[in-house]
Order: sequence, then structure tokens, then C-alpha cells
Amino acid sequence: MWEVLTSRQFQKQLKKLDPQIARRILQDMDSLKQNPLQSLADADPLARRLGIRYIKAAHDWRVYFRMEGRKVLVEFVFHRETAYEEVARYLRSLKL
Amino acid sequence: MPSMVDVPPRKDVLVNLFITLYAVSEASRRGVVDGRVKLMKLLQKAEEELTKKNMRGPSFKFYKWKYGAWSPEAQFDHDLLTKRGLLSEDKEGHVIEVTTEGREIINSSRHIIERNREIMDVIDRALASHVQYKSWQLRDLTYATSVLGREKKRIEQITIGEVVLSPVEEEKASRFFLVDDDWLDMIAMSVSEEFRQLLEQVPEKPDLTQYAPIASLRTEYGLQ
Repeated sequence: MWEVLTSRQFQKQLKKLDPQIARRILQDMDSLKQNPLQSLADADPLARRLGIRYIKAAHDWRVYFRMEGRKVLVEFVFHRETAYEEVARYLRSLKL
Repeated sequence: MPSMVDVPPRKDVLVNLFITLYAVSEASRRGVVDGRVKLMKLLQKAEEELTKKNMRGPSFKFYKWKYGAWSPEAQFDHDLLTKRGLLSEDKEGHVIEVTTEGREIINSSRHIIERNREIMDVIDRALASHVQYKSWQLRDLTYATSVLGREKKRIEQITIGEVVLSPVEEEKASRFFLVDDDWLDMIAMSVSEEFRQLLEQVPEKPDLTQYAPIASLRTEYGLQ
């Protein structure tokens, strides 16, 4: 069993979410206790340097964490549509 | 009257970003991408060749503009990839190159490149046969090209702002770009400003006193 710890950033983010979504994210994080290695390594160069991995939670959410000894350090949560929204927002603002 | 730029679906936006990165990488192996005008032309030629073969890879919409054909989305993609450190542009020669970080993204995308080999081969060939031209030669070449679907109209004969190239619709394409959710997520995260900010707040060396056991959060949300 792994010990799962959460960062202040993660706790702050969770508080801003709909409680039902937050609950589902926490439920899906149960797998981290069993085997955090059954997750995906993030290919982002900075994430890789930090040893960041992620699991999918509550469908469209991604929980980012790293491992330290037998501890899982959950760093932050991110919605997979956010990046697209950032690009789409800019494209919408363009005029021909 | 200025018109709005269409916002493509998520998959198209992310595939376009990747193809822009890939095009710089592949073209740089065979020549020099000296300037954004050249990059724009290379992307246009690649998409034109795919469209002629009824294939859909990148899905930029190109308009007639001052230097031939221009896509606001392709220009945005170049800017975004540069801002995120995946592409670099030197100030003097305007040479656009893929950075080490950009190359890591391409290397992590090998399975997608292989899955879309036929499309990538068309792109590779289009880049190889156009990267040696200067930007102005590519502009002249573009002007002399017929607008696809309007064979009697050359690009130089149409008005600025008119569409010169639209991608084949996915439903009608003989081949279209195949992806998976994990790969799309990877591309999305590598260009997201918010994701970058969150990552940058993660300290290199974790201070365990700054973390709390998950049990307290679970209790707070009524979980055992």
C-alpha cells in the first residue's frame, strides 16, 4: 500500500469544484493507494523532469502526482478540455 | 466587414498544432524554414497535396493574403508553439526550428506518426519538394496555382480574403488522421498556459510538511 498525500494546490482546486465531481475524483484516486505505477507518465518535458505522472478521474479530469519513496504526492488536478478552450478562445477573437 | 475565424473541434485544433511542429522538424532536416511566410507556404502545400488525394491531415483553412495563402490558425499555432518553447525563431535570420522540448513531443508521438503513415508520407514529400524554395518563390508558385475546386481560377486572380484551400471533410476523406485520447491530452497539456502554470508551481524537491494525508479530504467529502 502507498501513502497518498495531497498538496495545498490540489486541496484548493478541489474546493472550487462541484462537490460531486470532487467526490468522484477522490474515489477514482483510490487506485493510487494500490498501484500508482499503473498510471501514465506525462510526456511534457518539464513534467518528465519532475517525475510527474497522471491518472484519469471523473471522466475528463486528470490527477497529477509524483512518487517519493512509498508516498504518492498529489500535486494538482486539471480538466482535459482546458487547453482546447484556451486555443478556441483565442481563435474566436480573430477576425479576417 | 471582418468575419469571424471558424473554431475547429478539439481533435482538429490539436492535430494542427502537432502537424505544425512536425512540419518544422521534417522540413528542417531537408532545408531551412526561414520565416513564418515560408512555414505558412509549406503547411499550405502539404495540405494541398493531401486534399488532391482526398486525404485529411492538417485542417487549416487558407485565405488569399498578401504573400499568397495565409491561415490565421496556422499563424496562431506557430506563435503558440514558440511561446511554449517547442519551436524557436532566431531574431536575425528568422530561422524557425524545433527545440529539444519540441523534439521530445515528436518522439513521444512516433506511434501516431506510424498509425498515419500514408498521410505523413504525403506531408513529407510536399515538404521535401518545397523547402528548398525561397519564400518569394513559394509565393509566386502559390499565385500561379489554381484554387482547388475552381480549376479556371488562379490564386493571383481572386480577391484578398477569399478561401484558397479548405480541408477535405472527415466523412468524405479516403484517409483521415487517427489519434487516441491519451495522445490528444499530451498535445493539449504541452501547449496549455494553465497547465504550464500549475507545473511551474510544483517544487523540484518536495517538502513533505506541505502535504496532507488524503484521509482528511475524504472525510470532508463524506467518503470512508
